Amino acid sequence: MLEPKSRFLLVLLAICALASVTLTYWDTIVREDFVIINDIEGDALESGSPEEMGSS
Amino acid sequence: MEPLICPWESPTYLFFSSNVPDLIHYSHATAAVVALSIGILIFASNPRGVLQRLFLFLTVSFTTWTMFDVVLWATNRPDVVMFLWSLQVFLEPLTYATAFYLYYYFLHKQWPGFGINVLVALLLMPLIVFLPTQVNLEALSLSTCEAVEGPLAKYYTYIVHAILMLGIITTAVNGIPRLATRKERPVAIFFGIGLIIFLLAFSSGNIISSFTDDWVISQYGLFGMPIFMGLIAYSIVKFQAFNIKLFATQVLVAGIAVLIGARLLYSTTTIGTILSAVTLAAFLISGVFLVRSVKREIEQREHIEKLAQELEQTNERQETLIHFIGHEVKGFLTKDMGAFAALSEGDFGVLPETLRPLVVDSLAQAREGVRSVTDILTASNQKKGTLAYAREPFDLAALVTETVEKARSAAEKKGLTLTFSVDEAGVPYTFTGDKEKIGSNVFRNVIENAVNYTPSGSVAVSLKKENGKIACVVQDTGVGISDEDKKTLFTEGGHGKESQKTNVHSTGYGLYIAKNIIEAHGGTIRAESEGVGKGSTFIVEFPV
Repeated sequence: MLEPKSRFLLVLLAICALASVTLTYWDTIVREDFVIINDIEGDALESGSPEEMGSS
Repeated sequence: MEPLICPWESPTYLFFSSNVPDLIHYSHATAAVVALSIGILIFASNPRGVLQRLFLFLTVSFTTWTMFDVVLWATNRPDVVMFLWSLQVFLEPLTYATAFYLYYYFLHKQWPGFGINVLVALLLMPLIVFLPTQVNLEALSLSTCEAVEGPLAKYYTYIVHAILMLGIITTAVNGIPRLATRKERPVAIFFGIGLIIFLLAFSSGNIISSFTDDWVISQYGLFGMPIFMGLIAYSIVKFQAFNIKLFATQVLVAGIAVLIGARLLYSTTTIGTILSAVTLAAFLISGVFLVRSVKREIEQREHIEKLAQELEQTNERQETLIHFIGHEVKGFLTKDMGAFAALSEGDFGVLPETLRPLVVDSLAQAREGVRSVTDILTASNQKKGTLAYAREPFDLAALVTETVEKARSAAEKKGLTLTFSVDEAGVPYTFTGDKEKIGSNVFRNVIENAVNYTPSGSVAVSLKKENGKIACVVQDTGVGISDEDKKTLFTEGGHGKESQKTNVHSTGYGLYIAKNIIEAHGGTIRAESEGVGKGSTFIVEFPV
């Protein structure tokens, strides 16, 4: 059995990891808050968030 | 507004799209299926075991990483790429950390101390904290749907890998020499090697791809996964009875079976599929027979080793018992001997004449008893190799003369003619050895045997020097020795059938002891006889 201090540390780490994963999900999937480098068009290199870069 | 997506079609069933290179499914499916299967099997063998749980966690985190990797290749959605890639950045060091704890627990049978746990937590904490930030992934390149890695993903994760790998190596260096039994060491070494190669194969491809941006390279590392997972799994399950031969056979069969089976995934024609399936089936059948025969051979060998060990222990216990009983009995008989000797010598007054024969006979019986027990103890010591011999020069002729004279009264009682002749009379037959043992256990035994086993006739003892040896020949006209009895004559407890009829009190140790003593002095003893009722000749030879 893990000693109590280590068990506490493990639980703390697990909670932080879960929180971080949830935040990552929120930022990427829900809010799409990340930078996209639009290098598809060749010389028209643009970058920005998906909202800014979204084509009409 | 149309969402931005990468320039290929949406995947079907998450994992399949035109962006996925051919090798991806082959390498990933094999690795994931084998790893997870082994993890579940190991866990099922002992769900409460810490090692089994850690191993399952290792295989689950690795399998999750592998599945995410296929989705990353197949998907055309930037948000999915950014999310899953972020998680992968954490899953890799998590796999390393699990591997470290797995190996530590495997060697030490306990968790690391709080200090080490804090260190691992501190190593993982920056990954957790910066996971959703640009320190981890800076951006996504839309043309390739690949994340642009930040310093956390590109550098920090691999520093964590290196530290945890060092932890595993340090654990091995410190822990393996301290293992209780030598049998555990090869297991621990193989386990450690398997774990290290697994981790290196897992991340080396990723490290190269991180710096070259060629993510196809990272796929090749996964080919090694099944073999090393198997190696680790085997070490856990078979810890008590690790056998490299059986393990190697099993890994070989399993590894080739997986590779042939994976070929089925890429078969594009019906005939190709059928051929692959038939090859796999034939290989599996022969593989099972091969593994079974190796396993049977190993089990038989282990059974023999176990029996040999039990036999050795039984022999040791028997020897101890013989010694204990022998000493105890000898003690009692010696006391009896003392009492009868005192009575017969008149220490307690004059014995009535009616009682004298009884006392004299009892004294002789007690002496005989002490001698028998001493013979048994001597034989036991000889077997153990704990009998010590004195080495001093003495006159062999004088010793034989003395022994013959001691036997004369017994011979005369039976009406036997006992003669003794010495070649080159007067010439000293000097020999260096244990005079007491040679006198009482060799010559007295052989001469008394001749007298005891000769109902009538004569016993002739002669001593001569020839061919660089001193030979003592004892020839009698006694019961003789059959060919069958000759085989067991000089063995421990070896009675001749005829000899037992003549001398029921024989312990069967006399000639065995005599032979050992003679051979310890560089000599030989042999018996010759033309058969039952035709007398015997015993020849004892010592080197000059």
